[in-house]
Amino acid sequence: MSSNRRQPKKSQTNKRAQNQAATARRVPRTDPIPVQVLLVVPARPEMWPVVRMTATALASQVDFPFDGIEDLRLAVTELCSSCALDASGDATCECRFEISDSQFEMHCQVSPVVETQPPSEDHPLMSVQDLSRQILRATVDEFEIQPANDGMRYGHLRKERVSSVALQ
Amino acid sequence: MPTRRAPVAERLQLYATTRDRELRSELIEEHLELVERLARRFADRGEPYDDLVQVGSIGLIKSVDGFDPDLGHEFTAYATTTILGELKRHFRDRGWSIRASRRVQELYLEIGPTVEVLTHRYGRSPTVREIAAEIGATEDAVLEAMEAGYGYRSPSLDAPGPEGGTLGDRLGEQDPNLELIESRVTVIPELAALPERERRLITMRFVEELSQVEIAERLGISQMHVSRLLARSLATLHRLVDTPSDRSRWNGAQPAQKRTRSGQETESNRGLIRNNQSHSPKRE
Repeated sequence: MSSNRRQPKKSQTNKRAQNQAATARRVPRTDPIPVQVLLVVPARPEMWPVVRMTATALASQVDFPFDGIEDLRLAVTELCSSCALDASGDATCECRFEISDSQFEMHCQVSPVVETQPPSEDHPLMSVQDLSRQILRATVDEFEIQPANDGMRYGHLRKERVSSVALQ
Repeated sequence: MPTRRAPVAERLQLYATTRDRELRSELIEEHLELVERLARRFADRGEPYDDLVQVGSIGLIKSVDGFDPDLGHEFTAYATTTILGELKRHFRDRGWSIRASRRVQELYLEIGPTVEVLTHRYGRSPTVREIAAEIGATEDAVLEAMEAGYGYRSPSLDAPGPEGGTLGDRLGEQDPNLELIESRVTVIPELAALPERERRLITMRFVEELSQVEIAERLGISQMHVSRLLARSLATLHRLVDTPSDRSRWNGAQPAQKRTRSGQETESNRGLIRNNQSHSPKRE
């Protein structure tokens, strides 16, 4: 193997550090956690894949299980679209992700939004917002979607890596 | 029916005790809208929407049957979880979407040929959106698969290496020509086994490096036909290369020549295949 030839010389002098490093390697990614990522996108549906991919990529960095990531895909989309309800055409959606070893959190803020009266729905069973809430309830450990206030709407979700909430 | 106007909760309570078939159907039908709306959440993943509604409906039936009003939960919440779970399991069982490795692999394998086709169609490199539309997948999925192609979940080369520096620092470099030698030696005898016409086609494409369109013009056939023929020839080659019995023709037969060839022609593919063109017929 050519890697033998290229081994840095210091490996011979610093055996203890080498051993420590080898031990540390077995524990996956302990250093850069928690991480915050800020993503600002136009508040439009075609941007949700961008948000979703960022979210799932981050979650997979801290080894979220695949099912958990699938749940997040659904949840993140619902949170974004819920917050962007009644958003004006030039509104922006500011997403802040906070990822730690044990959980994924997302804060979402859309502005400007104009709170309109919910139209008497074409869905008799459940309004759009209610359906989103049900989906979030089924997929994340905690969430909130605040009513529009001061021209903006804020939402939040949190999912634990080993989650009590999971679709079976 | 007297129950028709009664609130859902009441009728669920009634159903829980009576297990009345008609009431059951009524409750299920009333909530089909929920299934449809949830199914739409998965509609961009390459499964027909109607199938998803079917799958979701099974979830709904399970929720109506399994709902226990005495636990004090809201039925729609219970049903949403059950229906989503059913949909999710469907994707998992189908090996789609949930099991990343496999779907992503399949998709990744599809991307290459699709890019080739689209490149010829548009005369430029296609966008991810176009690839996704062609394959019938989402842009998400394509991007994900592209990422997978570069080593899904493998450690970053920028990650700290065991002895300081990064993993990338420790990577040795392999002479790229080594692999070429191997490929060429592998493919020579099998090329000879191809019919003259297919060999000519492969030469045009990979030695003269003509585009499929150019080849089509020369041979007076359609580009689609060229594409099909090439695909077939390459498939034949792959099959031949993968069949161990065919290897014996070469293995050990002419080791000296093998060495000479690889030594002589490490600079490019071309020489060897040309060589093959002149040599291989004699060996037949």
